[in-house]
Amino acid sequence: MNVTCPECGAEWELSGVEQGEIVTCPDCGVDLEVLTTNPATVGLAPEEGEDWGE
Amino acid sequence: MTGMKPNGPTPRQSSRPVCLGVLVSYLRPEEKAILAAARDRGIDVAPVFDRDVVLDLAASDAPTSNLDFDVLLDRCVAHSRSGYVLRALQRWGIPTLNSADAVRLCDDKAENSLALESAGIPTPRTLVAFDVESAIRACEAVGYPAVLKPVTGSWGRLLARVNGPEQARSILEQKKELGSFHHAIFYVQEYIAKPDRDIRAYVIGDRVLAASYRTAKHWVTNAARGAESAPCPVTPDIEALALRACAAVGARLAGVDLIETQDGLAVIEVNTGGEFKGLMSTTDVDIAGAIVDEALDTARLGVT
Amino acid sequence: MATVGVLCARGRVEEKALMAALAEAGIVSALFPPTDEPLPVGPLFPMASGRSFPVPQIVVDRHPDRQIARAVLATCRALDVPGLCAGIAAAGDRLDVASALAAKGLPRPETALCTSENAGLAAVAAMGLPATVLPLDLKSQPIDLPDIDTAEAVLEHRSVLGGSEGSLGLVQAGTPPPENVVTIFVIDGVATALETSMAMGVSVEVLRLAEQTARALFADVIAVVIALTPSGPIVWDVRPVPEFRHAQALTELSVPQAIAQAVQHRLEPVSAPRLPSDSTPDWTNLVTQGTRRDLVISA
Repeated sequence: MNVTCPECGAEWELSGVEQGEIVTCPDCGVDLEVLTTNPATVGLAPEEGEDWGE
Repeated sequence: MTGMKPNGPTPRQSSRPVCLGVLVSYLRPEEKAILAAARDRGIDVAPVFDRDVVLDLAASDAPTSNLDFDVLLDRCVAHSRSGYVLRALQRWGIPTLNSADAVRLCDDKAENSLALESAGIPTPRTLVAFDVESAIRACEAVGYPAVLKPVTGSWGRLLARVNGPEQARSILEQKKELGSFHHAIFYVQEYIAKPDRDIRAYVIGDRVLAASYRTAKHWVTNAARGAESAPCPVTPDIEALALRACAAVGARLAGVDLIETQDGLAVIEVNTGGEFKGLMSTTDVDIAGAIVDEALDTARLGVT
Repeated sequence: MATVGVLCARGRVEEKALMAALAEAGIVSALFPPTDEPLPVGPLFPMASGRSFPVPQIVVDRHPDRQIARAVLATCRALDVPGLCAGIAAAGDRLDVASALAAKGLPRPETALCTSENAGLAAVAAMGLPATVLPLDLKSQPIDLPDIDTAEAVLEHRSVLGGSEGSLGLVQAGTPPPENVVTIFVIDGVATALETSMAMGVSVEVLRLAEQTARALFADVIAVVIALTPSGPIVWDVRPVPEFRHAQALTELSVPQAIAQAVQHRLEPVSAPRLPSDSTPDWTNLVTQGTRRDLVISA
């Protein structure tokens, strides 16, 4: 499954991922969220909130 | 120790009067009236300024933290501060008015609504969402106009009437961009067309002591936003609903906000720190005195 | 070897296209500044690490965070490194831009500077609705105020949650519909590309207004947002670091090519590298390594 980074336009193959998973663009390094798996699409990952934590 | 005041009373003696602490951020006319009413009753009363408090969480009792009262009345406007003080006092066995649990339920509008719904009390339909897009869907679910409110906060601040999805986006983005994470807990409520007034019912213990209409041309009918107070007769309906609302959150002292809808009265929220300056101008009832009496009852009953 | 620093947070589509265009012109570029690398203030001196800071010959401003951009551009100036940027719109805020354009008599909407929530409400009452709030910081998006409920809510939120910085803003009369708005990319004084959802073509008058705006702001590269109103085109807003991935070229050059050309023009008089060769960072192989910031510069 090829995906395109919405930030830098890089294309790369993504496999074994699930919807909602966070991946990193191998080119620009931005964190991306897998939006759909069939077809595979990615969008910018949500920004970390102040109240996020363990 | 800089900034510390010995808030607590002198060591207890069996014959000494009840010792009442009044937790405040600063003194408003209400607190001055309460202090005066307590002194009139010969009670040993002291204001406790939240800025001076140091809670010793390791201690097993209140004197270490200078909070050794028979009862503490919460009149603090800083909700986060009073929450911790009341929790600590609960652990140390000092009764408080209101209880820590009631204050927690009332200081968060979502918790407040959940408690009202759980008790089957009529209240406007409310949805909570955590993202701009889902909050817009929530607005659509309750229909336009919708009302956005902060989950924490008071005095009618940051209430927004939303007339459409684009308007919702403009306002939600401001909350997200400028506010802390609390402001990205989106509390979405159906807008209820009401007369240009709402009702503030002041509950003390098991009765509604007094009620007032709050009238404004603006859709936000909050006294802090300039609404005018006028006397409102305490009808059996008002009394019953206000008491049920207080019971739902465990409040013994509260300002209950009611609206008149086509289907009858509905509860907007219960305010444990209810102000009654507006009410004082519309009634001869001694509200401050009644609050002090309720505090004395709380001291007698102890921590429940 | 000419070296260009592309000032940005991350290499997005635009920065990659720009670096490709620079490479096509034989110019080596890299993202700037290097990640987690402190910048020297003032004349170059060895860093604590013993390495020299990799100083480019010119910096192209592509940073979406204007506070960071302003700080880095100022540091570059102190190092005698020129910046290709949006001039007053790069160094200042929307008030600076509006003031500079007003001083040149360029057509703009009725505008008020508001320093408080109540001032904002008074401005809206005077201008009528709809209106638009433009936060002073150019990185914040304009906020439409279609009705009084939204105006009250937005202005209150900006004041209560945003403090004095949030309260400060411009209120402009009107809210131009997207079909009446055109964004013109002006590079070195020439309208190079545009972006619009307008059905009809863009007049020369509009292109000239964008070029005049860029000149008034001393901008090397800028996008000018122009609204078409019944009384003629007006400058609605500017974008110091515009996205141009969807821009339609008006000349034979694309936006990145035009920026590369502008860079080239500025590099021409420079005959030799400013730094001794032993302290010049090795930029040569960087552009082939992708644009991940942590791969970029090794001095």
